[in-house]
Amino acid sequence: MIDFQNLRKEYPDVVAVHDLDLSIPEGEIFGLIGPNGAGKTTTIRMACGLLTPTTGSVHMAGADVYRDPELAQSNLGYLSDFFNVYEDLKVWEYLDYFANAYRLPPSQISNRIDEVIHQVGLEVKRDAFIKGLSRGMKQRLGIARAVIHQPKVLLLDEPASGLDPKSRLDLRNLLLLLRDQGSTILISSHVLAELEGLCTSIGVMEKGRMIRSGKISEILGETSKLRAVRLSWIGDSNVSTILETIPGVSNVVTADHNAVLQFSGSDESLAQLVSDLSARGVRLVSFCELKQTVEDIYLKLSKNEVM
Amino acid sequence: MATNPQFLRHVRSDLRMPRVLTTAGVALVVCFVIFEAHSQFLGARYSDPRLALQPHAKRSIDDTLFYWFIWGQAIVLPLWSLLSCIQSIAGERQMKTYDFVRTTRMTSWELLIGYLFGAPILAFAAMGTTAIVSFFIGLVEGIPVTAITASYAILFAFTIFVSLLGLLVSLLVDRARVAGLVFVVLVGAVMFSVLSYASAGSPFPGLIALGITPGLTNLYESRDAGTVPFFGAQVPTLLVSFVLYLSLSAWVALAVWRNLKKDREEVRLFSNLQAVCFSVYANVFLLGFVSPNTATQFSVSFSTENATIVFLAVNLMIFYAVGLATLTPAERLKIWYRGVRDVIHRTGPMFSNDTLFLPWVVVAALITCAGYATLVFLLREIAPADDWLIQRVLVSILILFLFAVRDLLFIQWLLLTRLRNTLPKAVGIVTLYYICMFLISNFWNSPPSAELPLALSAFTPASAFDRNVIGDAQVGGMMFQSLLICVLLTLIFRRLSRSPLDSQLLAVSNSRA
Repeated sequence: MIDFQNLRKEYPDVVAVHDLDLSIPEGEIFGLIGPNGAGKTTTIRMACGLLTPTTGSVHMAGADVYRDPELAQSNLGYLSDFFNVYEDLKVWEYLDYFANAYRLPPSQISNRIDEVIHQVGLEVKRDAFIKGLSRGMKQRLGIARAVIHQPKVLLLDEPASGLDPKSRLDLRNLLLLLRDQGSTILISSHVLAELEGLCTSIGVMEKGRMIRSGKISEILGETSKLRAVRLSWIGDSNVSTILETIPGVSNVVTADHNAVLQFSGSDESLAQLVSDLSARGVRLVSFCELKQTVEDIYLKLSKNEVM
Repeated sequence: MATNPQFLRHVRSDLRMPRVLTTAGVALVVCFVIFEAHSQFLGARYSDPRLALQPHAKRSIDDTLFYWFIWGQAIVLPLWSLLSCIQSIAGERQMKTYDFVRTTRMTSWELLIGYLFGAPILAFAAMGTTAIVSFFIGLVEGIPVTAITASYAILFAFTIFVSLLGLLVSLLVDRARVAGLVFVVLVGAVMFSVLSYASAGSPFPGLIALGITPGLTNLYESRDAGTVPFFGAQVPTLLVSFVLYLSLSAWVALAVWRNLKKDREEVRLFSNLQAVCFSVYANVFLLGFVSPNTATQFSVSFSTENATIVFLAVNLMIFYAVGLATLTPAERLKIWYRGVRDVIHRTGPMFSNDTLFLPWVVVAALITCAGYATLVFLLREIAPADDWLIQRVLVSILILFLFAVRDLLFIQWLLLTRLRNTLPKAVGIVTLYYICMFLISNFWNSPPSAELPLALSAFTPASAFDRNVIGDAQVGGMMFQSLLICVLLTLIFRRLSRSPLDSQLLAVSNSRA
């Protein structure tokens, strides 16, 4: 759905994006992560056709963004980090302007405006002036604008910047809804918690280079073959000693009646570990695998460098 | 227009009923103030006993109210529109809304029309109110409907022209700063007025049509527009102004249209071919103002030398216009340079639209030479030019060319640095340089100094307009400029060769060329 081929952007003294090759399939939520200055915004702006790449190309739903910008842009919706809206318009007027600008059939515009206003939960503000909206509401209006023409691709550059926790949650739910409706989403952020549970794939950028990209599960598998497990128990069992005798267990750290360990093995083996501990008289209170976060992946892949 | 989303947005946001009513109310109050001021003016005039002895004067003074209105509108409407247009794109860029506009399916043409007529919509509304009043007053004063309509037509054409200039400026700056805007407005107004009035007694009297004042004044004073020579015929000044504004507007509109959807750093006003065509257009129009049949009627003594000076001055501006319009964005220039550096493909991208502007100013200089040959041919009977003058003019064209290239290379070099808002700043620096040179040379020349010609030749193109024989000062000046050009070219190519050579870049740049 989104194809970057040899994409490169140079500024007078710096190469902002180095020969990026990336393909994002339909229906994905792709998280572009990296520190400030990594080249995320430049990449997204080139994908929108806002910046001309030094070399390379971007295809959006099959259309070349630079050779056929109008067709490509009809397939994409874009939202940047900190943006303003036309404060002297009403909410419906703002959406009507963009609906016309995206060439929606006039007969459908009114219904479509009502639909997106409902999607972003701004029904009560339909006829209100934008200058009276809160920051979160304006952000939601921005999302409504970006999806008014039902684009196949959504490009979101740090969309949650400046939002309160509630608005962030609303935004996440909205993006999941749009994904379910068939949109492909490319979202950039340096706040990794934002992308947790939202993205199906990620790409890690640093100094303008894509250092790793792919499905989160695949990257997890590559970055760590060991699984982290935490358990707690009651009673006087010498759990530490027991754990060290069990195959696949390593790096056991115990404190009070809690332990954290690393385990190498399948789900079946993990279930067997629980059984073995119980069989040896350990009275388990809790046993859970510590899932790796996007942040863990990022920290493992990245050298934490910025340009 | 009614379906243009950009225009409709401006109408919706700016023309809300309370605002329209307030604007109309203020406009009517201003009309009343003008009426009162006019009455006071008449009272003062009639109290003058000398005027009382001239009964025929009463009517002509009474009938001036319409012209008070039209002059008021001629000042307010273009200025208001200009400021609105200057702030339109730059303002949106500052608010970060322009990116959203650029990613819509609106075409550059739609955006251009939307901004051009939408941004100053409140100015149009205010003028619409006063126009009704002044139209009525004009009819009462017995001014023909055609004259009133012609007044508004030229006013509208001039407003469109300055609004387009405003959009162009807005496209080139990232923040609409008021001080900068005022500076641009003042410089533009002064240049226009000077050029228009200076041409009144010149061998190119048609240039007076650059201003709206002569056309409107003629319309008022004689109830019929005065005429100027235009391609061999005597054409009403107002009509020539109209044609000039329309054609100049078309060029500015082309530059805006080409770049509206581009990032500010990627703006290149004209393609190479368009720049050359502009040079041809400007020379053809300039020559169109020369009329051998009417040349002897001029108030000044007509000579080919006078015509030559005006011709050279206008062509100097054309050199700068062509060069500025073909300045290449830093990134495109780097790609071009890498392509040229490749021995195998050396000729491939040499004349692409990413090239250094230099060849196009050379073409403009050749067009100037051809234009001058045409001028000499047109004036062959009334003021024949001798061989010496022609040789002198060729040297003058070379001097102007060298100075224009020097300044433009300086601007191109600045574009390759990391200076923000480069183009406006660079143009400002060059303008300030010439203002300083002008002030210094005047200071130096009082009392007249023997070193002045040498200094002027070294730092300004003044010697190109010198009627004396070519002296050491001019030759020294040209050599000095050539040296500066070599230094600037070295600096530019050093900047261009900074990035490492990349085979992919070469392949792509060659395929694009």
